[in-house]
Amino acid sequence: MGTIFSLLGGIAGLASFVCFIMVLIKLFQDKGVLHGILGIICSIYTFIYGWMNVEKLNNRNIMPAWTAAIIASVVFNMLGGFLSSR
Amino acid sequence: MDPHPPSSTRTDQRFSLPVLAQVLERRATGLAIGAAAALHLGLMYFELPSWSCPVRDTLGIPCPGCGLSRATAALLLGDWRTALAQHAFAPLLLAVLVLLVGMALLPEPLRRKGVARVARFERHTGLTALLLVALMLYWLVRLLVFRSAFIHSTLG
Repeated sequence: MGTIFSLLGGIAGLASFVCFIMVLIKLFQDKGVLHGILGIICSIYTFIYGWMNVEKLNNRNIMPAWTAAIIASVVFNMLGGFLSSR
Repeated sequence: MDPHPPSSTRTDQRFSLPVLAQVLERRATGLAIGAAAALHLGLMYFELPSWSCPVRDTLGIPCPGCGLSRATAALLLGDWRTALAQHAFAPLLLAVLVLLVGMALLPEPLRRKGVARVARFERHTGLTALLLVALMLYWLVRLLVFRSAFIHSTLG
């Protein structure tokens, strides 16, 4: 059971990575290379930037999906770790 | 004025872009980053799950910012040696966080003045751009020369 949750956590992590890249591309296009580098270094900045410009950059689908993927990844990985250690 | 400046001029303009001033421009951004950083560091301190790097988690390669949170936490606890071993840019990140939150809490006229000053400083010196490039080079050296130690140090 722990393995299944860990696998689900991995899938959620992959979805989170895809959303991160999509928002990062928009950050590069909208604010330029230096802000893009800042977004790579600090993914929290990319996340906050994505939510603060949700209307402007038409992120209405990506940002809720990214947020859900982050939460799912944390929850599944925690459950996976907990069940595997039992 | 020449509508198509030479590429060297365009590069100069790109490097003198006031990146930090643009982040400081909106009060909400500073507050959001400050709150997120405080929450993240707090969760890390209590060894609870917090924000993890999507690049490292998916590709297995640490990103240029990997280790910065742990280094900043060590710095806040007064452990300079560990902080600098984890990430040499931790003192800089802490200074930027203090600036972001401090500026966000200032009254509007003072905040406007502060943002203008930061923008002027960045345009004159290009310091933010230089530091971002230096951080990328630092990451490349760690990844190519000290690969295993770097990857090991960023693992939970």
